[in-house]
Amino acid sequence: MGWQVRASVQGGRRLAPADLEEYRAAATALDDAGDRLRARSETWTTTMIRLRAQRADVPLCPAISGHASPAGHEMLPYDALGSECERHAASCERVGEELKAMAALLVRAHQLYEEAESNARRTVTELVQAGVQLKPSYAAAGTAALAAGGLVVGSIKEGRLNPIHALDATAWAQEGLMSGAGALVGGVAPGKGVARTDEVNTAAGRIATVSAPVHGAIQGSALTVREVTARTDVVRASSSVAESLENLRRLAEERLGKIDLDSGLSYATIAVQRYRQPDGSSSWLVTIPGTDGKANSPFGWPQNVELMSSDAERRRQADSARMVVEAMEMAGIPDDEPVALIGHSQGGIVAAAVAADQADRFDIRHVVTAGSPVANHPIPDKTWVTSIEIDDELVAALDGAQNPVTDTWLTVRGTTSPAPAEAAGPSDATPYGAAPTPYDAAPVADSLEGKEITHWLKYHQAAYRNATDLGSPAVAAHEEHFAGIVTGDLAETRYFEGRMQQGADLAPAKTDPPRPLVPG
Amino acid sequence: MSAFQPAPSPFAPQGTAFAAPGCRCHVVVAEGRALVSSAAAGTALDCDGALAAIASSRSIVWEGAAADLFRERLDGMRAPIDGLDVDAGATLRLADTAGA
Repeated sequence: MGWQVRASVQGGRRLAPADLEEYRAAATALDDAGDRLRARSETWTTTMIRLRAQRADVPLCPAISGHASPAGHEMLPYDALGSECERHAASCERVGEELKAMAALLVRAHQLYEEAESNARRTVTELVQAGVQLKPSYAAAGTAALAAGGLVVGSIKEGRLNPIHALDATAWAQEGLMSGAGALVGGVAPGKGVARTDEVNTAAGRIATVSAPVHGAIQGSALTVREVTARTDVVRASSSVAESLENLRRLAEERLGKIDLDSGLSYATIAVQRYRQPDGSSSWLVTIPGTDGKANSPFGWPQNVELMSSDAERRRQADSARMVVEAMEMAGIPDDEPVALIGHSQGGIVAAAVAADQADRFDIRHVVTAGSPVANHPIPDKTWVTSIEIDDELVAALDGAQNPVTDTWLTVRGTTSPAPAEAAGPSDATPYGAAPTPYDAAPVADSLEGKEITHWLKYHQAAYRNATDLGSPAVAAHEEHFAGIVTGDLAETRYFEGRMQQGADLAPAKTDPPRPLVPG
Repeated sequence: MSAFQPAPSPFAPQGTAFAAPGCRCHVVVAEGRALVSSAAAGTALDCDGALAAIASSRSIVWEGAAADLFRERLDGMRAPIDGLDVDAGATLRLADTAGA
């Protein structure tokens, strides 16, 4: 048994009102028909029971008791009727369930009730936030109890102590808790948070005024970016979000040694690809992995706080953002050629920050983030955003808000669950009546037996795959937009590595040098 | 009572409840038939409704793997729904034709 992810889609290009009504009517008709058949199943079951009771009600009638068939008495073939009733009940239930499953598939693929879902989620977030602001100690105790309950129940079910279940149990409240904590730290008065969603970013800005200089003093603020060459292909040609996510995973895991592609690439390495268009122009794709936490890396933990700041200048000064901008300049990306950025975790925050804060420097047309809290980054409308988040990964909820729901901002949300033994995938389409429904969820590649951190990219990949399988028009529109940038022939893939050190010396750090690489 | 008539068996059913014309079996059988008739008639209506819902849903514009599966599943449901309708009718006939 492994894990699977079920995707729901929010935002992106919406259906025209007339189409929306037509789709809702179709879904409602299927759902109602399913409900009626399931109710009819109950009717048949009741009929069977009442026939038995009626038969038992006349125990001494020779016909009904089945001992004889004397003239003047009547009987029914109770045994045969009972079997038939039972069979019809089962058929009605099965067909009814199938109709309802198809209705649910239609609703999920077309986001037919996304507004209501979004409002409900916002309401929960605001209520939790208000609770945290008004009664912080109670909120802390409640959260601890919730987490502890999840930990205990999840661990018992799994058969071993696994702290990840605490995250799972608090998934529904994570945005509200973060938002409330952000409001407390950021000095947002109770009640004022209803009209805004950037409490966490305000708090991050405050924290960063202290943490950034302290961290700069410890780590050094001199950034060195140099081009390095990989011995093997890590980030390969891509023409879709799914392929780019796979390349992102390869680079992310290779630079940390989780996989061995024998590339020689080290931590804090990003990739810049140039695609040659038929008309001779170029387009660009920048692949940005997340936090590596190394001592002299621009992609350390503290940089996340700066990147989350509501202050644009603070975000620009984050080491990881500086590194990516410098690498983009070294790669020769001009200001008039289309660029797509794809990043995981901190890489996604950097992508959002660069899109928000470097709009006059680069023509950033599309940003893909996986597991990144970017709801409040002021990304311009010209930049399309495709965000992939997992419900219980926590990291994506650190912004304390759900992502904007607009035509150009699409969010794929994934919910994890244990995969059935037969691992229902698109290729495992089961015949009519059999469970589970294909496309209910996509299996997570190489997932563990027990619950693990769902922040790993493989979970986001599964979520996106499930969303793609659904045939959502909104996902298709975003995919098409992305493919319109990442198109043509791959002309080059260049890798850039960043290192931090004390002072203003831009030479590579003498301590903790990068692994041997062929200088680019 | 005639002397030539056989004496009533001490084990024969006694009283009006067990006499053929007044036996409750007639009431019970009628109620049973009504139950089956109601369930079968309702099933026929539900099946008609389900087929209409399938027909209207099948024609919406939707592409991709899940859309293909959606239509395949809807098409696949027609036969079981038709079968359910027919089977319910057969059950009703079974109840109606059965007698003493």
